[in-house]
Amino acid sequence: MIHMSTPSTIIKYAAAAILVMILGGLAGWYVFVHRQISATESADSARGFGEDASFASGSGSSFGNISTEATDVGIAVQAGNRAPKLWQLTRTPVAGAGFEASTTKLYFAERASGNILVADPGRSTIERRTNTLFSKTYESIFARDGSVILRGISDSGDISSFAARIASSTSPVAGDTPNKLEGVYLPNDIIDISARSKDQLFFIIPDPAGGSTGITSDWKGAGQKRVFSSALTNWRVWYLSDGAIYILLSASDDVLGNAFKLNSDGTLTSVVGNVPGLTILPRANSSALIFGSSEGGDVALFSKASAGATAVRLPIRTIADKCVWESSRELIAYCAVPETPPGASYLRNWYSGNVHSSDSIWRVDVSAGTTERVYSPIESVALDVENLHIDDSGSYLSFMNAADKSLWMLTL
Amino acid sequence: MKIILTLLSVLFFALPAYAQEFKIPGADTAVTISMSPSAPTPGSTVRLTLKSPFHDLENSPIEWRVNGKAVASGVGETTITVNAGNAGEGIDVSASVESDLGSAVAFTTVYPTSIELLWESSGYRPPFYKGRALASAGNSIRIVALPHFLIGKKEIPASQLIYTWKKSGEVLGSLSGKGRSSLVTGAPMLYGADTISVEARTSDGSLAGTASLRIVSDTPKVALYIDHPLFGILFHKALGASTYIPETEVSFVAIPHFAPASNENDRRLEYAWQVNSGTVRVDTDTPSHLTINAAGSTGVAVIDLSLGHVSDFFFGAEGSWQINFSQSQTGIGGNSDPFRAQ
Repeated sequence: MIHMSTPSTIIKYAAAAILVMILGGLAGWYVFVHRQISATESADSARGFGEDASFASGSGSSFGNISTEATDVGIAVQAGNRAPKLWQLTRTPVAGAGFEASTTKLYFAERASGNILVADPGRSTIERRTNTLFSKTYESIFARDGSVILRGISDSGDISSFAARIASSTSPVAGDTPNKLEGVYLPNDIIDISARSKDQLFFIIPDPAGGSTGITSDWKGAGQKRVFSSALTNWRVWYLSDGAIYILLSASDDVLGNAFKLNSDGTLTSVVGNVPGLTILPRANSSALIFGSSEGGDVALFSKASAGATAVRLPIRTIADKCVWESSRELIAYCAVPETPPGASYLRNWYSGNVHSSDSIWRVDVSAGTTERVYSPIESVALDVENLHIDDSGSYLSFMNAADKSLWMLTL
Repeated sequence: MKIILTLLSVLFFALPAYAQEFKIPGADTAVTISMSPSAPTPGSTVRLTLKSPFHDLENSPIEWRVNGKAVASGVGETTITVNAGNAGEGIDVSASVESDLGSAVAFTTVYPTSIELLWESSGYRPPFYKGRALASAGNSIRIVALPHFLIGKKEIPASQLIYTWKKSGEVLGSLSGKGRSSLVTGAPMLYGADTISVEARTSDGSLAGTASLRIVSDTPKVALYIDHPLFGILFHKALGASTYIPETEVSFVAIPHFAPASNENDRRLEYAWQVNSGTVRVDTDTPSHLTINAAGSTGVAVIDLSLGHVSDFFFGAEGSWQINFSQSQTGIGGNSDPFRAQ
């Protein structure tokens, strides 16, 4: 007997088949989408994505990047407690940092966003101050009140410098939304810039006719005054809190270097000259100087307690770029010293990111000509120290790791 | 005969008396003080020597005074040494001699001077690079003389001095002259070196100074960096010969340090990229940039770059980098599986 399917049976089979096909399709679609999501997340994670957006929380996009839970050196950081001896503030690059006057708070700018955050080592906390986007901020210079110059590269390839202030009202309380960063753009292609205070800047710009011009201005770029001109352009500048301006023709290994103090009439007074691979660190309210040399594959560091004093070679091998003066009355400085000899062409290779070192940190008493090690590298962490800052009390030393531009703080 | 002998006798005995009365015109000023070095620097030791074409200095008493104070005396004392002192503090020196021709005095003032020679190359420095632009072939070199000529506390302006520039011993006449305190000249040839010297002096020649420096040609180098979508060009991390990159798609940028160019994408630069021996054509507006997508590819991406210059045939740089992407498998060799590069 032939069993004939009824129309209702056919419809049931068809519906079941359609249902299976739909479920299969959905399953396939799920697998496909999941793979894509995994691939995207993997790629994003590798790029440093995967963190909160620049809004909402107190610290925003950097929240996941900031070591509020544990540092890479395995030292727990507990919010509310004092920061550990060595505190890794960020894992992602920063553009620069600077301590607030008379406090231990450290301002810093994210490299990716240009957002300003402030770290408090007394409580191991980090708060976001601004959420104005300045993507790809390569360099930042802070005044002692948190006013900042953010430097980047414009689409046309020019170097841009945005001078901005952070009003006290931007200090957020928990849950508040960070405020805007407001300021003005300084002239394009500033070669180097230094901040004396929250009101005074000195910067060098290329002269269209060749050479360069040194200009002082206020933080809004107003009141510009030409105080220096030169047929050369490769200058680095220091505008100290006492108003002294120092300039250095950029260093290169084995090439004689010269550093000068800029006088009010625009003339130059030689501070130290004809030193191969010369790097300098002048000091405010003093004519003391730390300077380094790089010649024949060897680097050396020297100090002068005053302008008329004889230079003393210090028993540490590093460059002045890795040093910072303490602001106390005594002539105390802290210097990072590569644990292994830097080798030939160190300045060139270091400035171009071709070599990185693992540094120890030393306290230098320039008056006595003595040095003392205050930090030895941890085996798992190689810190190529640069851009050092020290708070007014001399309790904390901040620096960037030149190898990845992460931000660190050492309790002294 | 008697008369002749008498006359000769008179002349013979009278000669010394005549000689004592004989004065060579200008003999009292026919002494000079020479200085070595001729342009002393502050704090240096200066050798002063008394000279005369007439006076017998070796057998005559000589007295030296420095700033009015006797510092040396004696027969044949023709030389003394003094410290040049500080800039702006001239030292007055006098030397007097008593010889058979009479007395003579010479005066001079030692003004220590110094000149600092600063230089840089016109070569390309990437943004935020803190080092000096070095002298690679094809670039020009700008040299600036900073003279420190002081009289008292007043410095003579550099614009009022007369400069004579020399390059490897040859006077650069067209580039020398009054106020020409800076110089632009070509960089040394590849693997070569040049010595640049300058002499500066006041218009009356009372003050002078010299300085020289040696500039060695630098070998051009090109560095490869990641151009990160968030952080920009990672100038702090030049890629080594072999690099692991935990990403699938990466943009690179080549930076030719100190190349004769205004930026890395200067039209005068010629980039020839290869990835695993395959030529890669890149955007003509940004020839320094290379993007590699390693998705689905295997092996190591070997990036080769040859950099030339359209008009400077001495300029050239090459680089080779092995990039190991996280998405690719190592050890296979990527020649048969080209990465998607652009």
